[in-house]
Amino acid sequence: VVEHHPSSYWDQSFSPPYFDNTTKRETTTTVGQSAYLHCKVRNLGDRAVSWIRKRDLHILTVGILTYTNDQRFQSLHSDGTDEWTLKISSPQVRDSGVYECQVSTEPKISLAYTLSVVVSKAKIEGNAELYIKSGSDINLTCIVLETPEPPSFIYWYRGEHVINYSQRGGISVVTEKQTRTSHLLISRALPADSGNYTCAPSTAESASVLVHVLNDYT
Amino acid sequence: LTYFMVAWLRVNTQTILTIATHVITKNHRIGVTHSDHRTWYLHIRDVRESDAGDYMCQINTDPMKSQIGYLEVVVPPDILDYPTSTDMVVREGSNVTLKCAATGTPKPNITWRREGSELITLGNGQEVMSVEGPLLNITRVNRLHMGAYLCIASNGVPPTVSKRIMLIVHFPPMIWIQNQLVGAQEGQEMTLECLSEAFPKSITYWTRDNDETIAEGEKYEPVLLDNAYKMHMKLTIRSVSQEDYGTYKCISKNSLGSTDGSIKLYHIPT
Repeated sequence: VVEHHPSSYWDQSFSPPYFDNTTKRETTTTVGQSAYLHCKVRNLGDRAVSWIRKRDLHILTVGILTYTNDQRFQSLHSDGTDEWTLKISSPQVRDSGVYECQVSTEPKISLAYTLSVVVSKAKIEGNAELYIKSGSDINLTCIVLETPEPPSFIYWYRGEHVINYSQRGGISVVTEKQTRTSHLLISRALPADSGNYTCAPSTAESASVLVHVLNDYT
Repeated sequence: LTYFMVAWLRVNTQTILTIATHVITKNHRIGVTHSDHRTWYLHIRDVRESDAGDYMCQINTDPMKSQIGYLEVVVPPDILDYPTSTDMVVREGSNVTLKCAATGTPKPNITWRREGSELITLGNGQEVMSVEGPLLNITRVNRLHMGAYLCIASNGVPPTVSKRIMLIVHFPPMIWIQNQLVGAQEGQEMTLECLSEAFPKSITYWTRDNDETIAEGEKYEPVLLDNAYKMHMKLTIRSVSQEDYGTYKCISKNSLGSTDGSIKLYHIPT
């Protein structure tokens, strides 16, 4: 039976710290979605774990303290654990790059993490403006492009308002997270259904299409 | 600056050294002090060559501000055993290159000199006090090139160091005789003389007409004065008598060859 003892003075002094290499070293996130970089260090002892931005050598955090005055960066650590996480809130595309988890041994040991912040966009298939005869169906397909994670929800708007499926019959919305698509079907459209339709996913920029429902005078 | 913090980093290794008054690195040679929170000093004790490089002073403003300074670490010169030449042994007439390699910061200059302020003879026959550069080329080496050469490495950081490299030139013996015909009266004391040059040093001796080696005794006193590769051979014959007239030979031999010279002692009637 292997027992786990809390690290003693002896362990600290004579066994050097090392990284637990099981953590993910490449992270992709979308603009605005908080990113977490996880660094695990065993045998830390009295050494400090710091995060720096490689691009300009900007120190972000040291231990649990935040050095940078950019409030979006934060160090997350629970006492007694080996995990030192860098949280980047509201990431922007310019935050993409390499971050280093650094341990204050001499010489230092470090691990590099690559963060990609992408702009995820929705796209509605077909033309940007649609002309439909009164009485036919409005059929819109929205796809979310370049998103690392499927969106947790996709909303449809007409003008300023979320489409209320119960406000009139014949409206159906089918959203598939895995294929990152959402279909909006409005059957037997009337001129009153004309408007600017917007597909708004939770983690991507929205897309719109202008629908004109035409009265048939023939 | 009271609200902001100053940090020091090592640029080439991207290592955090200090933040405010805290030393982050476990490098015990690093320290930090400040005066009035206005001037921040990074201290490095027992500086090593590996400490040379860029250091960044960083302030956690938004956006961050930083400045970089370069630390130069000077190191006195040191001559490397390899590829620096060891003592050289060459045959007369061949070419030789003496090499000298030195480390240090800044890169040391190499100067060649001869011991005892002797001049260095270049390939074109020109004689100079010193030669600059890690290689000293000597074409068609002759016996005058033999001796100690000094490779001197200096870079402005004391102490300057030097290494002594012996250049040894091997050549077969040669003999010069001032007087090949010498006259003596009976009862007179007479001295015959030969000059020989050889390296490695030759063994020298005298013989008579019948190739019989002359041994030191009551009659003969051979004397040898030697100076480096030069030998001055003397043979003193005490109280010359009738049987002493004839031909004498001085002989010089080394590993590369052998040579001799003859002196005729003739009778001067009283």
